[in-house]
Amino acid sequence: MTSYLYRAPAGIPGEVTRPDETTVEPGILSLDFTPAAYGLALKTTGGGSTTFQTMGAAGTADTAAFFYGVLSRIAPSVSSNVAGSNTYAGAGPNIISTQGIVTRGYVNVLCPTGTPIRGNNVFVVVVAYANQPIGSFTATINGTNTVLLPNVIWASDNKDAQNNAEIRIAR
Amino acid sequence: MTQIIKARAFDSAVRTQDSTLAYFINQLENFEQKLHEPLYSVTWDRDIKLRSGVTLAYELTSFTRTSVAGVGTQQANGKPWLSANSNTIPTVSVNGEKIATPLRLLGREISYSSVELERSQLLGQGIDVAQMSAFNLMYQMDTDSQVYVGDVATGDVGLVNNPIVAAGAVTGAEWDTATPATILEQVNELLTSVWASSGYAICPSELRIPPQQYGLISTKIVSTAGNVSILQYLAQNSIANNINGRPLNIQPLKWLVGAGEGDTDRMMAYTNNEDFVRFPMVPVRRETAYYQGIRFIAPYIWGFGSIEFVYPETVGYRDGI
Repeated sequence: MTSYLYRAPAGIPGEVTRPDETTVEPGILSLDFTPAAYGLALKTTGGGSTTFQTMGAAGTADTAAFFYGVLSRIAPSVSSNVAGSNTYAGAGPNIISTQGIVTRGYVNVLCPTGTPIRGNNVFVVVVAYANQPIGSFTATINGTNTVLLPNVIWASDNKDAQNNAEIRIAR
Repeated sequence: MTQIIKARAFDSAVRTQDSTLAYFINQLENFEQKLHEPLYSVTWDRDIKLRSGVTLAYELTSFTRTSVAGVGTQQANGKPWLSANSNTIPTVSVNGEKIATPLRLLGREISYSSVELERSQLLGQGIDVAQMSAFNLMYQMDTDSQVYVGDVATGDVGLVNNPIVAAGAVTGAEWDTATPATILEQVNELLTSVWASSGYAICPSELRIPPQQYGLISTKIVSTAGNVSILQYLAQNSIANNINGRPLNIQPLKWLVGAGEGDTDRMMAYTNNEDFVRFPMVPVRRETAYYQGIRFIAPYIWGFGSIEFVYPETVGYRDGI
């Protein structure tokens, strides 16, 4: 299934792209609004708990201040459980494992809408709309569905055919 | 429900939307541990010679083109006829131009934590080996792209898209509808025009065409009376074989698809010789690896110039084939 004609893709969502200048913090995922994929924005659950859930969870009016980091990909690792079983053959990040959260540096994310331009604004989706689930990133503002992240920029121009693009998180 | 595109790796039982390189395996499943890497093709080492003596310390590569001149005694551009007692003997003049192009540094790291390495070894699919071969794939494809088309970001041009090379449209139909005679004429026109523009000094020994056209001429018979393909006929009977003493080397090249004016398919004739056209490149080397916490990181660096057309006269493009 995999063959490349001219270029390989630009990345895999959640993959740290420039390890030397990137900080990855450990974090436990929340059972509610667990991120369905790597490379999504996370916030703390709050209320005395510091587990992490997808940004935009519960339809709350999340602001940029809620943004904690991006769920990074650990490979190899066991993927998530399938609901109602203990097979760990699911599709998403694993709740029982400690996950890595990129809080500074360079990480690959998906940008389904808009064209990233190096240095330009990065928006995080807090209310899902076409092709953009909560916690995903976009280069194009979409009303109150998106929130501008002031300390995040696109780290390079354009995206690949699978919408992979690189962001840089400042600290 | 909105769905983000996560497709990356699959297994037959469960679609692993976010592949994390560890899979769910049934007890009755014969799992093959071999890494099946992506298929890709690079041809740069077939089509270009590397310029020798370039290191990463250089920021530019350059060369000179020399021109010479000399006046005649009877006519400006004539011969230096002399009389037996003349003391006004004309001389020769030499001029030159220097062409410099940037040599740029490139680099990539491979990186994994000790735990990721240990896990991958447990799976029999070492992440160190997988990352190294991924690195090599990227490096090879980068080199291929730099050699043939240069780079959009840096403005470098490559072997198939240099604006200083004589280009033009072919006369007659595209090859999928053209008669064999038309195809032969089109190729011959390209070869003779490049030969002529080099002052008949260098007749191209290489012809590159897009893969579709290559398939077409390798099966199409040269004429109703013939029994050889156009490909075979061209290799043996073009002027290149007569002049250079070896058959015209015709090869398929994916970068020529849509490389012509208005995204038409292009063919290219040239001579693969370091004196005429070459690629300044510093092959990849590994720098000192380092550790960051539990993470192992190994940086690799290399250098790309852009293709040097020492004699652009020895190269020619024709579009619309």
